[in-house]
Amino acid sequence: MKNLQCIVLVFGFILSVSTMASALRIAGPHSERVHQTTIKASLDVESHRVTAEMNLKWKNTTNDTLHEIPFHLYLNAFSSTDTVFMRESGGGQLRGDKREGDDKENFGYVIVTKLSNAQGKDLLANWQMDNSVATLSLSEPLESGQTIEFNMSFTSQLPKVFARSGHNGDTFNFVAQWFPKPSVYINGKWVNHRYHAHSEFFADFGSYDVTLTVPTDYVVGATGFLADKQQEGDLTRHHYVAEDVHDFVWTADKNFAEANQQWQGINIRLLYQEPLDEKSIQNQFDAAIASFEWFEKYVGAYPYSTMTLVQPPEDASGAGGMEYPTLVTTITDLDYSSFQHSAALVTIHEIGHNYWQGILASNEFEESWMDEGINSYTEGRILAEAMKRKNVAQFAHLSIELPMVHHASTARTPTFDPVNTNSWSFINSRAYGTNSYSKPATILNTVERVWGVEKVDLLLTAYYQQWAFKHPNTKNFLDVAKTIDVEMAQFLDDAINTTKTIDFTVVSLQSEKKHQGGGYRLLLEQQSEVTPEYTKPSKSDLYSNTVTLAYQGELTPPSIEVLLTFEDGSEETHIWQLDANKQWKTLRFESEVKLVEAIVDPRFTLLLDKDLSNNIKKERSESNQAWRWVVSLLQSMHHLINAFLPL
Amino acid sequence: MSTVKLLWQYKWVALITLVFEWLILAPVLLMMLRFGNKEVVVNLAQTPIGSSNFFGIFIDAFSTSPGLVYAVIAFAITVPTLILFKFALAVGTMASMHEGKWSFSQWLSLSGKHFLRAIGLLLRWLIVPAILCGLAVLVFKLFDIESAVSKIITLAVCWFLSISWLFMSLNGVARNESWSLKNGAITLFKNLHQFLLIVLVFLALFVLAKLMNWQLFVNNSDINTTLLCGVFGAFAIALFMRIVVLYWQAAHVVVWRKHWKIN
Ligand SMILES: [Zn+2]
Repeated sequence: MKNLQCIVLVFGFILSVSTMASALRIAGPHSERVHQTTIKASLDVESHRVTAEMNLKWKNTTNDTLHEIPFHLYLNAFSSTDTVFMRESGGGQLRGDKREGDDKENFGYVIVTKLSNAQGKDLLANWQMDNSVATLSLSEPLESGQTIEFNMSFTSQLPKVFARSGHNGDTFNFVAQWFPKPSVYINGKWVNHRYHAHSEFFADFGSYDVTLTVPTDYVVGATGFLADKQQEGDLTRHHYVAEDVHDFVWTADKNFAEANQQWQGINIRLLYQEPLDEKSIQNQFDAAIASFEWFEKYVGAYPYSTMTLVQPPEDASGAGGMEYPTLVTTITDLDYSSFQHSAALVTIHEIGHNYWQGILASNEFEESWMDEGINSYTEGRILAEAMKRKNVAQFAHLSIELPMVHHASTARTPTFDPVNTNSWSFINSRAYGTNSYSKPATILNTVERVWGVEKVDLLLTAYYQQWAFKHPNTKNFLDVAKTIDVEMAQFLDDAINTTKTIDFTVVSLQSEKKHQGGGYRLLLEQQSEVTPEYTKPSKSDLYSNTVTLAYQGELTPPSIEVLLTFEDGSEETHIWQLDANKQWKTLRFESEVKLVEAIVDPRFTLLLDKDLSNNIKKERSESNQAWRWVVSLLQSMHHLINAFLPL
Repeated sequence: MSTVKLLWQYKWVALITLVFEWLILAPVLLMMLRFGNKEVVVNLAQTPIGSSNFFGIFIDAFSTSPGLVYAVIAFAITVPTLILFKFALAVGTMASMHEGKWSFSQWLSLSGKHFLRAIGLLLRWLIVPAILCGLAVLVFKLFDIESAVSKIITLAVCWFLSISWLFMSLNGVARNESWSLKNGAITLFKNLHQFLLIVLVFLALFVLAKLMNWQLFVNNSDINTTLLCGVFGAFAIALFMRIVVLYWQAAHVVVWRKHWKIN
């Protein structure tokens, strides 16, 4: 008995030590680990070129026999002005950044220079490259369950950064989408999209063992866990290990300063540009910790032991605000501001991607809303709930909450495409943006306000539990929603898969003294000699009120509140049970005090409403609104001029 | 002559200028009234001004009603007209103050008479705020000043110093003298304590007006306040602002006259 106790203790100790010093803080495997990729790469900091050797073991975890394996060669999207990516981005204008010119250094590529099987047989003849993708034809079919092994040599020339990957012409190198990566075989077919302007993520989970050789004075950050670091003269080898991730990214810069903070077994490492004050550094750690806290409470565990936050230098802003497994980039300006929280918000957003893109790993090319959209929703909650910053911006009397920002952009974008559309198939970039970020966030904000936050929490938790590491699609998400609330799931389905919209309005409002009928009273058996009785028509003390409400569109919640306000300030709430067959309703009622205002949805639950400004109507004599606020507004502007130019 | 005494003598200038200003702004007002059908300022219990919900409704109203957009365009066109007109009246007022007596026709004709030279001064003066504010920005860069508050205060001081320089120099224009910009600078920098006093008084009054202004905005948007009250309040505050501005102008005349020993 005592021996057993001893063994358990020792075993427990070994286990805890091994989990402490590994890429995972929660022991795996979490995924199928389709591949095992070993890379030995070295960076020439002068030419910003990576030369590498790669050993790839790829397992056929599908039920089909395969005859080829397609690969991503995404750095080739930057190889010329004719690539799909360059054309879609207008020759290289994206995310507020653009290609700096036509010089050679603005372009990049990745080419495979050697390719052989485990026995050393040259396979380069079977390698068919088509710009940002390639296909390797297998000489023998690969049966289900079999593993195949290759050795490759490849060279990656980094472009000058303007969209995500690259160098800044100086010491900063951000090495993303840099190696040949096998694509995903799912639902009976290969999914191997080219690198698009707006989408670039869909890959299989595996293990990475990567050794990076860079000059010793360069600070390195990478996906996963630093297992070992060895200096050899002017060069240092950084050995990184990552498990259950679908990508490997790294960065090297002489100018990085470093700060670290631990949170429950996660080492959060910030690589920043000096100078950056303590408060701004802590703000980044706070944002990261708030994200992990929130996600672990409402969604699920973060299984990895590391998270590296990389602040790109100002001249490499194109690399900012990007997400990779266990490594994300922040915006270039990390200075803490009490007015607006974009530095924290972007970090929360990118860490959120480690869930929606990193762990759930849905197909970002085809269903970008599942990544960016759910993430845009959760980032708002993390900022408000975990960071206690209700407003994303606050200027004097003006406060701006994230859900309202998403509402405004959703309402302003014409609904030509459903949210669930392939990222390259939207009518224009703006439609891609709104439908991938703001609209799905607004849909989830609406669902949260109509059906209650608890149901959304249940949905997110169940979604994570059923689909983590399994590449879910929209249908999978909606199926999970059905198990929580059928009505809610139907609303989500309509909002995500159709172009249905909704706009509530108060059509009219009247409140008048009630007529007390009067006049001659004519009786049925009227006798000619009797004069009919006369009462004078009058108005009673009661008011008779008529309010007509209506809606256009089909995206209706089960019911909606109508708030009625009376002249003395008293209020009454009416619940309008919605009926798809009748899009309007007239309320008629009497009151002792005059009705002055009606507002549909006074708590702003239905943020999907296309126009909130027509949700309100005032009684006519009260609705000299124009005068009220025009006089005030004009006067304020007038005074502003007077104050700055006292003429 | 004391500033307050001078101010009292010119009290009608404040009222008449205000009437002119409101007449110039009238087209914007009419444009905005078209937009006014939208119930933007709503039940303040639900959407307090400046709140996120208020912001949401406002953006929606802005983009679904072209009236407000036209009003903003009309305002953008009106503002330069307004500023030029007020500039003419300002130099007219100062010229009249130097003559020592006021009549409506004399005031307007002086405004017209000195207007072109005043514009000439304005164009030459533009380099002053450019240099002063440029120097301030250079100081921020050199000393690595990050605090937004100190930046705003420094820029405000530079701006008001420039404006005060302009008003000192307007004395020269109003008196038909040459070298007005140079003499304006001499007067200003030899009487810097006076400038500080003027700015302090001006700022105190301005903050007060601003507070009243904001309160008015809130009250005016409140459903329980009568409209007449709102319009009257707006007029009263605007008049108060005009008196503050007139005080500022009169102070510059008084300082000038003291400095150059003109009685
Ligand atoms: Zn994102």
